[in-house]
Amino acid sequence: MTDFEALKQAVMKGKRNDVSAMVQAAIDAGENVNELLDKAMIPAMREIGDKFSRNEAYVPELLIAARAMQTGLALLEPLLVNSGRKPLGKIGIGTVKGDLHDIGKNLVAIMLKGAGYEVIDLGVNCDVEKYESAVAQGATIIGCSSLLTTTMPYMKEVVDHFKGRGVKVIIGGAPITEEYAASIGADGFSADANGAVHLVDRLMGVGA
Amino acid sequence: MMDDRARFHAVMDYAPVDRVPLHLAGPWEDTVRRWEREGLPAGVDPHVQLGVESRRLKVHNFGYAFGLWPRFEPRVLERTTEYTVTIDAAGRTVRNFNDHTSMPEFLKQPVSSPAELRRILDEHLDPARMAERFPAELRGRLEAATARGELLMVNGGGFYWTLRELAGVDGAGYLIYDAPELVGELFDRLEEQILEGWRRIAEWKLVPDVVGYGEDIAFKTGPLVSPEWVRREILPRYRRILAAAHRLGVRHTWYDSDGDLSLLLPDFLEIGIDGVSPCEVAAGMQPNRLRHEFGRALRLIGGVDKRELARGRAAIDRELERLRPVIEEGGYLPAVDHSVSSDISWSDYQYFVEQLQRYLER
Repeated sequence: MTDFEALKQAVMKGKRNDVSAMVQAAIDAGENVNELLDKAMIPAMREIGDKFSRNEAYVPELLIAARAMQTGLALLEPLLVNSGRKPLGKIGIGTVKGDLHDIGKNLVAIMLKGAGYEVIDLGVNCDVEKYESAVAQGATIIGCSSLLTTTMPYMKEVVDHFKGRGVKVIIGGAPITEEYAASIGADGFSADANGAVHLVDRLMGVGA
Repeated sequence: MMDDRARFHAVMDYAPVDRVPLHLAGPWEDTVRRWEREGLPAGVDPHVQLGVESRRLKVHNFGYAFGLWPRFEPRVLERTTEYTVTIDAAGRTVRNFNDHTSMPEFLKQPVSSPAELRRILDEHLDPARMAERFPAELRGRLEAATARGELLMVNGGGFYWTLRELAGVDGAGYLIYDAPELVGELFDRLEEQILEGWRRIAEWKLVPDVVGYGEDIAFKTGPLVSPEWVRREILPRYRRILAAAHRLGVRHTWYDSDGDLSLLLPDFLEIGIDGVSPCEVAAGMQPNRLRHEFGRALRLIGGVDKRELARGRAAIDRELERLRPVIEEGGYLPAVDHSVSSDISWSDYQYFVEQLQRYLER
């Protein structure tokens, strides 16, 4: 039987070989693969995210934890599909039109995936048509990122575009504030990648 | 009559000064294009047009070939009406869009594995080629800049910056864990380049004004890497380099990094890094807050919130007035907290420069 705490620690510390070995052993033993995710791997990513928010973990620690998680997930995915497991929700995320910065956007995508969401990463320089393509694939939340003050205003165009269509738009990035998000009618704002996970949880009603 | 070198030192030493040096950040290219539509004569430098170019603080960097040498040969891979894809001098494959200019889209970094970092170390950071990094004309350029009264800045570090330039922020994060010995070797070679620069400055009997750092080691919510890692892998190198600078009598630093450096500042101050730039307000590096928290030991450069300039004249007035106590106290060169963005009109920028000068007069 898998030691969930050991697996969780292995993910948090980015020990991908250990994660791979533990996950493979669990698969070989015919264990419930959903439990590996729900009792160890997802809690690991959520905890490293909380540490990131508290400046107790930094970008490298987040990256290696996510990589370890992905190593385990790659082994689990065929079995998860057969088990009928669905992601918590589908989110389309991209840096807004005119802006090519992607560090923050990538971190949010990593954290959302680690928390159990399906993420459609739209990349950088995204216009409303690009965000629309994520909605066409089933995304119910759109995440917009910007680093430049000059590209912030485009977020309002995205918000306006999806208004009244049942698609929520959340925003973040270096110059973005709670007040700005409110002023353009966005459905939410987060100051960091982990906060984005909690925001999406709230909007999706996860953990409510 | 003081020159700007003397003014810089007086400000950083909280000493009397006739006026605080006018430090003006440059505009992005698309900002200049906007300003040209709004009345700036085409092809004319905005600060020349405003009549302030001669009053601007001039900083001369000791520009030897730091980092990769030889650099990569830039070449165009694809050109369309919308963008150009090139391999740049740092070996990155980048897409430059014609309609926005702040930075390119990075498509591929030269390093994505420890083996590629090994290759870069061997081919572009060979210690045997140190002399090539310092062309003969450097000394003359430095002496001429000093004679013109320009502030002489000599490199104190660009360790994390070089790693992220090679591998990207993501790749740098992986390498820190996957290949710490290679990252250490990279840093060793960079440190040797920097110390060689200081040896040459000493040999030429030049007296620099400030130790410069280009790291970009932080973002909105704090450092990109842990303070513990910085303490272990970078600070000892900073210490050794600062020792060389201190032997030449250099007392002040100009540590350039966007983002929130707050968690690193206690360590920086302890080893003698006493000045930071550009104090990005959106990341919480607001000068009044920094002065309150870190006291007069920390000198500040930048800290004028570019978002406020975009809001017009009343906001510019409020922003400068908010900064007045720190400007008057000293130890502070106010400037826009990064390049001037294209949401700032030519008219408002002119107003900002006029008003800023009023605040700098004593």
